[in-house]
Amino acid sequence: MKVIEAIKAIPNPQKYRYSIIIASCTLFFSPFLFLPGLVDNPDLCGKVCIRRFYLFFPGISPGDVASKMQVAAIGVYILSFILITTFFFGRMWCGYICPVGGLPELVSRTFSDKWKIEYRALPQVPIRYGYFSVYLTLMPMLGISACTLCNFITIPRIFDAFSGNPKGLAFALSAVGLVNLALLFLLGFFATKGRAYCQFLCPIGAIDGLVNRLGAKLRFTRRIRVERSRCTGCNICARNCMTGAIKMVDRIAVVDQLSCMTCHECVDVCDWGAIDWRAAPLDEDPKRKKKGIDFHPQPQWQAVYVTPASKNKQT
Amino acid sequence: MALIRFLLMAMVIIGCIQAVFAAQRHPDPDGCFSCHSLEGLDYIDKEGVLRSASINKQHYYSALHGSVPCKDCHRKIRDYPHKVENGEVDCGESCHVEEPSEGEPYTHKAVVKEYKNSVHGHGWSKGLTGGNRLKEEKKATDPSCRFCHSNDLYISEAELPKFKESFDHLDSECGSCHQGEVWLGQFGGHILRRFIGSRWNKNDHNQMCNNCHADPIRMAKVELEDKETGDKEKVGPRFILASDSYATTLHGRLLETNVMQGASCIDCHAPKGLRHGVLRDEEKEASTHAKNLAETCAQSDCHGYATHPLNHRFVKTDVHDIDMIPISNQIAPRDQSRLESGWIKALIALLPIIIILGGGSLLWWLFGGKKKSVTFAVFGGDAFQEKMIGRKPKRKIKKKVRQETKPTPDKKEGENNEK
Repeated sequence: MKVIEAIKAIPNPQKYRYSIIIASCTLFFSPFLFLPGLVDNPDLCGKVCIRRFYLFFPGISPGDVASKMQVAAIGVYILSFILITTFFFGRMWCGYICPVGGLPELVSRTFSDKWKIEYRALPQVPIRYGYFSVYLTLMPMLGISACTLCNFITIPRIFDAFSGNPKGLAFALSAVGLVNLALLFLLGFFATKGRAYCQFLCPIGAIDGLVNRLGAKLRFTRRIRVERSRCTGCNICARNCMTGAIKMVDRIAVVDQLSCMTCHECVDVCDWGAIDWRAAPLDEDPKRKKKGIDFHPQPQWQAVYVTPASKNKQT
Repeated sequence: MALIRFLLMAMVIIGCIQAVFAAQRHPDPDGCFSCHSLEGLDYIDKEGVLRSASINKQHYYSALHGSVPCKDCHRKIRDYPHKVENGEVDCGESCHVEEPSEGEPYTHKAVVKEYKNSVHGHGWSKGLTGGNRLKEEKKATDPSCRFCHSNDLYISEAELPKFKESFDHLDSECGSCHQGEVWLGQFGGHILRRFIGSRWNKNDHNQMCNNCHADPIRMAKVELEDKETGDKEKVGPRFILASDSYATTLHGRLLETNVMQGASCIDCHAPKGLRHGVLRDEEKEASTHAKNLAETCAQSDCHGYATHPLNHRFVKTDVHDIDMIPISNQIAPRDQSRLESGWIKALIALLPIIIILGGGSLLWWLFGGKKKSVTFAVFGGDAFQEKMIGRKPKRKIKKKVRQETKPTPDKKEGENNEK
């Protein structure tokens, strides 16, 4: 009964989000393998891989890059599609679809928060982009295969193992596979909200975050934006944010667009409508002014943190 | 003589084109088929094994050597009936087919020479094919020619339509330079097949290697011989499980899904020459020797940047990583070195944390959880409260209660907003 109550307590939009993640797990993974099956691939590796073709090697020529992209042609299309949607609508792939990040999140949410590791207070951006640059340049140069620490292998193999595919079990029992599983537990299942792997180690997350931040300054793009004058500083959004993108600065919520996954969770819990997934109003000037004073001024939906002081200087 | 030779060559070419259905066009100058085409031509050999000497004419004529008369290879057979031992074939002999530009008889000598120098060329291949078939199948660890090359179809069935279509245009396309009926008639088809592509793709090559190397029980019996001292030593798990570890790499996974940019076994182990010279890593001429690795990886369409000096560690990426193979694999000899791997050490470090967190979650789920906990998370909960929420952790609040008399900065900002 406790479980049913807990499910009932989930806000409706989040129920849809969880359902989409469960659906994408069945579409992407064994035993159905529907989407990889369309291109005759048994997993998310090889020609579907979206994590390898941009690795940098000293002395790499445009021809080499082209041939890498040709090998992983489907992966290139998928990543381009992800980045384009991110630019306009925020990180839809990461938050709503990605089964590799979504599964640990859902599993983590079923455990009590008491016995978890809280990663959200760590300096996310330096760690993520530090590791990302090591992943891009140093690891290939040193001969550490990008495939060894990859959740896009680990999680499909778990599903393989449960679907009776011996390949899955073989990976899960190998030394590399066991360490990957351990990391899945530590950075996924036993992390608060289960998104630590996405935040620290996932290269797709790192690229997606950059594109998200890039598009955030434009007014027409949809992002999680805060209306500062409505924020009461109750910090419920920051506590519920699965990525740790919301930080209370001077008791007002501030969203870090490098980390935000547009999951909408903060919007669902805010009682004051101070945070929303939306574009900024197109007309910046308030409509009703009298003697220089705004009456019912238009909300200042901000995606990127702007201090009131610097805002005053601009105007 | 010239006429006979011409006729034979014409037959070779016709055999190439209509490989599958032209059985009746092939003569059998030595009359071997008068007996060997009979069904049920079986005998029991010295080892007591029932063996079949029947040859299906149609299969034979459609095959790679279908146009070569039997005696061209089975040279020791002169009389009828012949001894079984005389059926032996030496693939290093030259055969009657002449290469037009040089006018010399074709021979597999170069391949046989390269192969004999290779790591596979030390064992049963000395007898090459015929005589040792039985022993080869039962105990051999080194393959002979026949072991890998059975008398396959000259053109694979998949490529036959493409071959036929191209053959129709042979006159107009090759004929502008290579004039004369002799060339077009004798070698056009032969060269065309080479252009259309080798009969085997990379997956077929891998399958050939895997016929032996994917069998760990068989591979565990292999002994490697030291060239200088002659000492023999048993192979380790890296060798025994080489096929399995290859399958976990991107090289293997690409080929598994028919993306032909993946590297096959011989792409790295015998990239040069006639592609039979597989050598041990320790040999200086080996393509997989530490000094030659960069060149091997930098082959066309592969890792062109591998020769760059900064990539000297990249070329040593372990493409037969034993850590990708289940540690529970019983076939590989128990080897302590497997436990010395960094991955195992990492696992030993991480496992206790997982057990604590997992056990704690389970116990909390069973017995606790009724009372809502004040602190969230075992590790990092306080840091989150402090840095993200902006609350002081409980124990610090008590200490600083008296100091919090100064106005907080957010109040000032609130005033600014009002203005």
